Amino acid sequence: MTKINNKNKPFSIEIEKDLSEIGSAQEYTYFQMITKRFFRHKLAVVGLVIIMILILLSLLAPYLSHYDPGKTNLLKRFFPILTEGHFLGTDDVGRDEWTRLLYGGRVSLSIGFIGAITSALFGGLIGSISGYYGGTLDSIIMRIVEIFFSIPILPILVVLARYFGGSMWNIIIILVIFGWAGTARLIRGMVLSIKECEFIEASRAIGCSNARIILRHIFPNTLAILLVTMTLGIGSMILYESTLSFLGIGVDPTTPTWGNMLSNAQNFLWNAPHLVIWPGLFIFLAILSFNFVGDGLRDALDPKLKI
Amino acid sequence: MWQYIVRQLLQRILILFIISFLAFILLGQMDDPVQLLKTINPMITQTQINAYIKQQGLDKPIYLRYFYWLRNALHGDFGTSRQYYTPTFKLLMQRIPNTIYLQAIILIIIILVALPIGIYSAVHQYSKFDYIFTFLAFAGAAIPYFWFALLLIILFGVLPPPGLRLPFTGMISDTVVVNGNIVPYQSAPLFTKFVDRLKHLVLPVLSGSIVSLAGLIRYSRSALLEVIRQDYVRTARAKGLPERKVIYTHALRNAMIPIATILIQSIPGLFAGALIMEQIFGWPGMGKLTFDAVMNNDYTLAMTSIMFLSFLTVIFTLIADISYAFLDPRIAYR
Repeated sequence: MTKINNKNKPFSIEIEKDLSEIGSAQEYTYFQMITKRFFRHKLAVVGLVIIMILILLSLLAPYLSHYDPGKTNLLKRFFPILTEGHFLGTDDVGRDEWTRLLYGGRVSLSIGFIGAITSALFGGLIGSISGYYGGTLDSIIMRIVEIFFSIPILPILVVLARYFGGSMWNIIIILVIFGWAGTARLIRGMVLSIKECEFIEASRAIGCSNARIILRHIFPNTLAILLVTMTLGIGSMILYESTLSFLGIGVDPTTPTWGNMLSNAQNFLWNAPHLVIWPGLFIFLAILSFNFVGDGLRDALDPKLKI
Repeated sequence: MWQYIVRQLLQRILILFIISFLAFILLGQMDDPVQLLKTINPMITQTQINAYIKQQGLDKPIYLRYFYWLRNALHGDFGTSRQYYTPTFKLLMQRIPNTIYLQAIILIIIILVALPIGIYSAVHQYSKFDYIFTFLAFAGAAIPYFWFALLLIILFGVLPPPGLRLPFTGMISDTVVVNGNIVPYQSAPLFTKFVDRLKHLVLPVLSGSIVSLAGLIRYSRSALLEVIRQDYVRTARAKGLPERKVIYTHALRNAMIPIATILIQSIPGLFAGALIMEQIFGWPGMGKLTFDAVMNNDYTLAMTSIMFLSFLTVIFTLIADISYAFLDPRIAYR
């Protein structure tokens, strides 16, 4: 292909790139190709690095701080930023802010990961079954999905969290109940087209059971999309958890989570405005990074995809 | 077309009934009103309790109670609030104008700011402006609303010297300063009242609109980009129309269809989102009313506002669907 040196037409350069990829595609496995395309997406790489740092910080919390996140010391209330020994200061009962951020990450990130993975897998499975069997089962499941779409989620979450909140696991269950419907609808749409493919017909011809076809042949084909929804889902799970905790009905207020810390800081805007900055910044960074990574993954897996 | 609308309407009314049933069961499980009565008044006698149970119909199974509730609700009686001892529907209607007042201003600002930015970004795709706003839109989508609101409160309401602080609780001040004297809000001159209201609007509107801007910028950008790639836009360019005309008459009109739909769909979300916003800013709207109702075990009130929000969601998605079909003649009614 002749090289067109025209800066006003960037698409011609794009074509050249794609052609070179096709020419050398044989050398790469599917996985290598995806990683190569993913790492070309700079913001996604930045996001991945930030996520790694956040995970490391919360995993290594005991090594990065020698304070106990729950230990109060009323002699050390409201220390400002850059106090010796407490470089992000202390809160209203003298707990070290930095330590609580680290331990808070454990809870917030766990809820994000576990919640998003469970709801993506559950939604994926329901969607696959619905799309594969079709008929009455499909229309029942899709009506249920529609109901979930018509429910005003935030007020219902508030009601549920008010009564079942408190423990991390209950919050995860509540979030999964309202998280699976979107994925189910998306996957069902994909399965409708996958099940018309020849390889499904072939596996039916050699006598595979329905369960085997769904689990071994259809489900793996939706994994790419599931991975993307999962990554984007982690961000929104973290947001919902912190919203509920901020309203004071999420995870038990004595447990450090980013949302709880913000909820607490809200009461001391006049004494210690600096307490507001850090937990929110961590929530923001986490959500932003997961969105970037999700976007990068989607572009790497299937640029035409719309989620 | 009428057949389509009627069928959709019937389907959604059915969904509304199912939601009301589920919500009623859910809220009914939440607490024991008898226990609550005992904590409020430890001296209460068993006969009084029995009378209360009979009066509230608590001796009946929950599905029967649901049907009683439904019968009354269909007659416009949504029960009496346990907190305020007033009909819940009346309470809700008193607060809704305050919510609409705030959310309408936010919605108008979002439309006025996001659409031009989205259009400019799409027309100048891959320009510096486009990159900056795409990144800002990403950031806006990830920013937790309550954190952003708190930052604004600190920045404009706490840190500045007392004279320059913006208020961040409620819709109006209790007292205002007129000619150096502190007078109650009611007796202040009209202009002072207006300025006071305006001041109270700044922080809620700023935080609410900046966070929601991101979504609409991204959406309008991609909607216009999609249209610009179409053949009829190429045709319009090929026959020599000026670029202005191509974009603003041919492309934009078609891009407005999905944008209008998404705007209609976002309206119920604004009401639901008011829950957090009004909680932070102490805004006397229905979001705060709902949250307080849940926190104070006022289930009749919580049920009424949840049903109101579900009704909004169902109705506005229906309107969006119909308007989509109405605006775009290529979509057939099925």
